[in-house]
Amino acid sequence: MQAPPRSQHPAPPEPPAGWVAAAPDYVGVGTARSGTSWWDSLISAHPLVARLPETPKEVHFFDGLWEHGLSDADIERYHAYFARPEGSLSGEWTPGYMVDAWTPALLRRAAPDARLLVLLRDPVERFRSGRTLAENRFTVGSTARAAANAAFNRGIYADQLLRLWQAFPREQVLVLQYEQCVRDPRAQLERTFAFMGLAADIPDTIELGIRVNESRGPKVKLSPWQEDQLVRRYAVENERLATLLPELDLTLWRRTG
Amino acid sequence: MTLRSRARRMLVRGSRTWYRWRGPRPMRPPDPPECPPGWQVGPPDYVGLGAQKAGTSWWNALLHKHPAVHRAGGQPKELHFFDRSWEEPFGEAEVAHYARYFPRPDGGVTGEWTPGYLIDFWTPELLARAAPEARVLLLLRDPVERFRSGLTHQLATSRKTLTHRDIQGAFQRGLYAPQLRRVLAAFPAERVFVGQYEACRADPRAQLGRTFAFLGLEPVELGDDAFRSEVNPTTRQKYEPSTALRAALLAGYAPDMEQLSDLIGDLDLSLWPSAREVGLA
Repeated sequence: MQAPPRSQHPAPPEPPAGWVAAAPDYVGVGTARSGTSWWDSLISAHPLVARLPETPKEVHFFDGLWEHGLSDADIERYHAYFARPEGSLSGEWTPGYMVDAWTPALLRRAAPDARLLVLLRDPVERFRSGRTLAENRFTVGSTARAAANAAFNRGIYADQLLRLWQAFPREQVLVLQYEQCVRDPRAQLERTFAFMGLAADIPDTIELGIRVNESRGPKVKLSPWQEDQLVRRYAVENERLATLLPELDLTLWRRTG
Repeated sequence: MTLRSRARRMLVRGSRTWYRWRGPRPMRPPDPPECPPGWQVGPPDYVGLGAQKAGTSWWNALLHKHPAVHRAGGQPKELHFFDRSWEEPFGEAEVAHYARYFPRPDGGVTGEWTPGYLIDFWTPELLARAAPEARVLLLLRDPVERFRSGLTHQLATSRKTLTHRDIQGAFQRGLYAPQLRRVLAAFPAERVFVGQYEACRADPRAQLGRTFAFLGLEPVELGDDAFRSEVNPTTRQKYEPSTALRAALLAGYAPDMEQLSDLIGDLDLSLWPSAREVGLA
C-alpha cells in the first residue's frame, strides 16, 4: 500500500521568549472564497489575539493526514503553531477543513476546546469566485468537468456542517453568513468576539472596511443558463441548510423564482 | 540502442509527461452508429446514471441478454454524451444528435449506461430534455465499499500515489443523497429504478427480473451460466483504507445514508455493512 504524502506545511516555528505553545483557541474551518481572509484579519487585529509571524492564516495541518491519523507528536507539532503570550488567544483559519471527512475528528483530538468558526456565502457567488475553479483545474490535474463538480460540491454546506457537529458540540461552532458580515460588520464582529470569549466592544484600532483578498484571481463568467442551473441546483440544498441553521437569512442568497 | 528506438522512447516519454501535465481528456462520444434498415432512431428507452464501481457493467451486460434489448453495432455501454455539457451549449441540435445513438427495431428497447452522469450536477436535467420518456436506472453500493473499490481502480490505472483531491473526489461520489435529489428533480420517482449492488449479488435472478419489469419487458428465463461471469472484476491488489480513515468515512456517510433512505422508500440499508455499523439498520 502506498503511503500518502504528509501535509506540506512548514516546520513549526520557534516561539519568542515568554510565549507558550498550546492548542489553538479558535479554528476557522470553512469555507473557501467566502471572505475568511477578511474576517481572520479582523480577528487578528484584536489586541488580545496573537499569532506567530511564521504561522500562516491557513495551516492546512490535517490535509494529508487521512490515512494515518494523528500521533501525539503530531498534536504537539500542531500546538507549536499557536504559541502566544500569557492572556492572549491564538488560532488559524483553513477554509478546507470542513470539506474533508477525516478532519473534524482529528481536530477534536488536537484541539478539543477550540471554538470553531464557519463563514458561509451564497454558494452561487462562491462558485463564481473563480479561484477555487482555477485551482481545481490545475491540482485535480483534470478536466473542466471534474473542476466544476469539485467546486459545486463545496457549496453543499449542510452535509459538511452535519459532519462537523458529529465531532464538536454545536455550541462550540459559530456559523456566520458572509452577506450579513458585509452588511453589518460591527455587529457580526461583536458576535464573533463574544463567541470567542473576548471583550465584545471593538477596539478603535480595527478598521472594519478593509477587505482582504477581495479581487484576487479572475471571476468565472457564467452564462445565463449556468447561473440558472446553479441557483436551482443549490436551492434545495440551501433549504436543507436553513432547517439546520434557523438564523440563516436565505433572502440574502440567490433564490429561484 | 538504435537511433530510431531512442527517438521513439523520447517521444513516448514526452507524451506521457504531457498527458500527466494536462490531465486526462474529457471523454468524447463516438460517432452515432449506422441505423440498420428497418430500425428507427429515437431517444433512449432507458439510461443508467450510476454509480461508479457499483456493478453497472455487469448489470448492463445482463440487461442485454434480454432478446428485446438492442444495441446497434459498435455502440459502447457508456456514451459520456453530457460530460462536456457544463461548458458547451445544449440545444435542439444536441437533443437530436443524442437520439441518433439509439436505433432499435420495432418493439425493441435500447439505452446506455454512463455511471459518471450521476455526479455531474448539470446532467439529470439535460437528460430529461434529451430523453423525456426514458426510464432511469441506478445501482448503488455501500458507500465505503464504493470508496474502496474506486481507489483500487484508480491505483490500478495510474502510477501516481493518491492525492488529497483523489480522496476528496472518491468520498464525494459516495454522498448519494444530493445526487439522488437532482435525479428526482428531473424525473418522476416512478420512472427511477434504484437497485442495490448487494441485492444483485445476493439474488441476481430476482433483481434482474425486477429490472426487466421496470423497463416494461416480458420476463425471460436465463440459464445459470448467464449469471456466472462478472464484468470488470478486480484482479489487482485492493486498496484498504486505514482504521482511522474507515471510521471517518463511516461518520461522514452516516447522515447521507439517513437522507437516502428517506428519499428511496424501498432502499434496504441492512444490506450495507456501513449502515449496520453506524446503527442505521
